[in-house]
Amino acid sequence: MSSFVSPIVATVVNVLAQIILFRLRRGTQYFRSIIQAFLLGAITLLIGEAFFVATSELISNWLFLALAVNLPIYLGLSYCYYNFVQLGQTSIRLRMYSEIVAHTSGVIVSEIEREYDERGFTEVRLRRLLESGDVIEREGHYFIGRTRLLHIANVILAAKHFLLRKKSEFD
Amino acid sequence: MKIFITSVGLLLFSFAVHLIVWRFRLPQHHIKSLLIIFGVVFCLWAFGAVVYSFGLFEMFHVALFYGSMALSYVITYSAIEADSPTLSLIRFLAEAKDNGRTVTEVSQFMAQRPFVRARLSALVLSGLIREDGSRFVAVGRQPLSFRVILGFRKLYGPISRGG
Repeated sequence: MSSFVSPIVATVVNVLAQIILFRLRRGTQYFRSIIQAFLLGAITLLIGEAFFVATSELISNWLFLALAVNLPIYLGLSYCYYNFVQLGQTSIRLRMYSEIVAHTSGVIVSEIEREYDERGFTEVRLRRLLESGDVIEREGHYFIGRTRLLHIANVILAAKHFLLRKKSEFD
Repeated sequence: MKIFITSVGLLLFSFAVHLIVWRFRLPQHHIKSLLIIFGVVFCLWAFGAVVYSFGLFEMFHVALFYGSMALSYVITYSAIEADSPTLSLIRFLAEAKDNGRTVTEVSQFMAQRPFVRARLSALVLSGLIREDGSRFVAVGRQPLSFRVILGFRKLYGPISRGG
């Protein structure tokens, strides 16, 4: 029997720990709970892999299975879970859909447009970027501050250009 | 080694099929099409694996590796398919280099990108909602994926309203 169980158990530990930590802190320190739960899952994975050393014929076989197969599985599943949790928080589509579903008679178009006002939408994003230092304001002009988001934006743009042959969904 | 090579091979093959299909014609529903490609490739392999007596545990291990990587790619792809307002803004500011952008320029740039309207259109296109006169109305039952996400969100409290 191969050691496919350990990344599953590690992911279950990650998910449960994140929910418990988040609830214990009454909905605060969200990112801290994500990182702590991920580390707990990683420790579980390590323990699980160590358990399978005894059943493996060669240490090198086990090491390869642990590093090249089970570690990526755990990272992949954790990435999926993180995005799943994030969805309800950041996905505009999901939030609008949940509001429309909540009203059996539907939601008036103008109400949705007021709630998700494009101008307010920009202001909120700009404010968040200023607070995080990713954007700085000087003499009425906005400039790039920290470059971490710019690197992500460049990678996404390159991928979009390669896959979709365009730079923006509005092109 | 067998699990690793099989899974990576399947992933590369699926990616190649995805690229060929995308070069030939962009599908209307990107995510659904991607899931179909990954699913069909795996099912075809699984059929062959049963015929050629691949071990059951090894098959499950391949499914786990392949599934987690495929889902990670699909999630990342959703960020490629639709523009992120924040990242679009960041790139717009970066293009101005040392000159920066004024509030007016930022507002004009964002006005050319109606993100909210685009997301509503995507919901209409996917058949989840329809525009009924002056209202948006949900169509049919909620898909399972939405029910799972919304159900899970109850653990965290209500979803905040607005943009």
